[in-house]
Amino acid sequence: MAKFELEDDLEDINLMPIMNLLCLLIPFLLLSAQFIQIGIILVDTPRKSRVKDKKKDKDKKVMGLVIDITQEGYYISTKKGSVCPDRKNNGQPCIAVIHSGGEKKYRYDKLQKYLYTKLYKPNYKNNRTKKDAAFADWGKVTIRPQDQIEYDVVVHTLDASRELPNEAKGDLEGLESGSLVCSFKKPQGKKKWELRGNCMFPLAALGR
Amino acid sequence: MYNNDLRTAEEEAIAKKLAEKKAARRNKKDEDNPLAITSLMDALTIILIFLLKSYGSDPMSVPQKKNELMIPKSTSMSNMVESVDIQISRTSIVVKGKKIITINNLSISSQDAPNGYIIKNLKDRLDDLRNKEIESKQISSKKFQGEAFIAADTKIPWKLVDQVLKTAVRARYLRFSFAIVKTRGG
Repeated sequence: MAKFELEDDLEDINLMPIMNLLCLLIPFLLLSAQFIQIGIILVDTPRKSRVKDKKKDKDKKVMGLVIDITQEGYYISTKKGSVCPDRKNNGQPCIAVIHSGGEKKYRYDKLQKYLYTKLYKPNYKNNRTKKDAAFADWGKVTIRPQDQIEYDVVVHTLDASRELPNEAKGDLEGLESGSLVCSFKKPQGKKKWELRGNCMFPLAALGR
Repeated sequence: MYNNDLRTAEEEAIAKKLAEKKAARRNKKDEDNPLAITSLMDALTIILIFLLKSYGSDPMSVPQKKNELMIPKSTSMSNMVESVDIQISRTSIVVKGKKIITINNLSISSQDAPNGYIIKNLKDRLDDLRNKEIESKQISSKKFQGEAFIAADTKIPWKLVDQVLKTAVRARYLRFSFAIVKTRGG
């Protein structure tokens, strides 16, 4: 009996002010929050990249991969010279731009496959482990864009040189976890970035 | 036949009783409790917590603006870490929230970059930030890492980015993270 009396005396908490506050907070947060995920591409300056190379084993060979981005397309070379000497002698880039709908388009897919078939796949076996790598600068690329090249083109070129194409899954043995994801991670409290996953030429230096 | 009639009459009576009960319950609710907002409150609280969590997950933010600063999309899966942030939009260069230089026609005037490449005001600002960082790191016995985070608009010419990079290198920032919008989840 006493219990019933107590329940009758209790009044419900007035939730309306809290509701009002929540209804104001949620639209505010929805408007100001960023739902796109921001990431990064890690790059070095050529000078820093060269200093690191000097410290490495002097007996090892150097690949010296360089991609020049020009208004005509991509010129690709290594320490030995141009990767496409015939085209270079004719004044043509290794991968020319195409014009469609009045716009100039760089062929990132073709660049990725070109780097993979001509430079990465033939040397993959001899450079599988960092310790026994045949090239001292395996995984490195220097990208040199012309002054008027748009920043967007540079970023997509970095993507094309870093990521392995899909065909690599079937071609290459011993791919870590079997996926083609390549990323940099900085463990908490550590100074150095660590490379994770399977990458083609992830260590990019930009400029001259 | 008789049995069937009896069953339907019984069923009808039960249905009637149920309907009456339902109506009574409905009427009672209307009288006692004008609005049942507890469940709504729960839902709103969950949404609020989710929003607050997603709001504070990135160490830095990049305010994007159409025709001003739209960062490029990329397949990169790397996440950002806190460092000095430099924003290069079509109209200005901003370092750690402070506008340093105004850009006209997607280029830097010869006044701002007297020798063609090094941007004077930018270098001064980066020098200041470096000195402050070194001081604070000395207290916590850590080393200065010289990393800068660059958020640049997709349409700006490479020369502008190159000028910023060269200036940053002069101020002893040697490693750069380019901000991108992830096109893959992770």
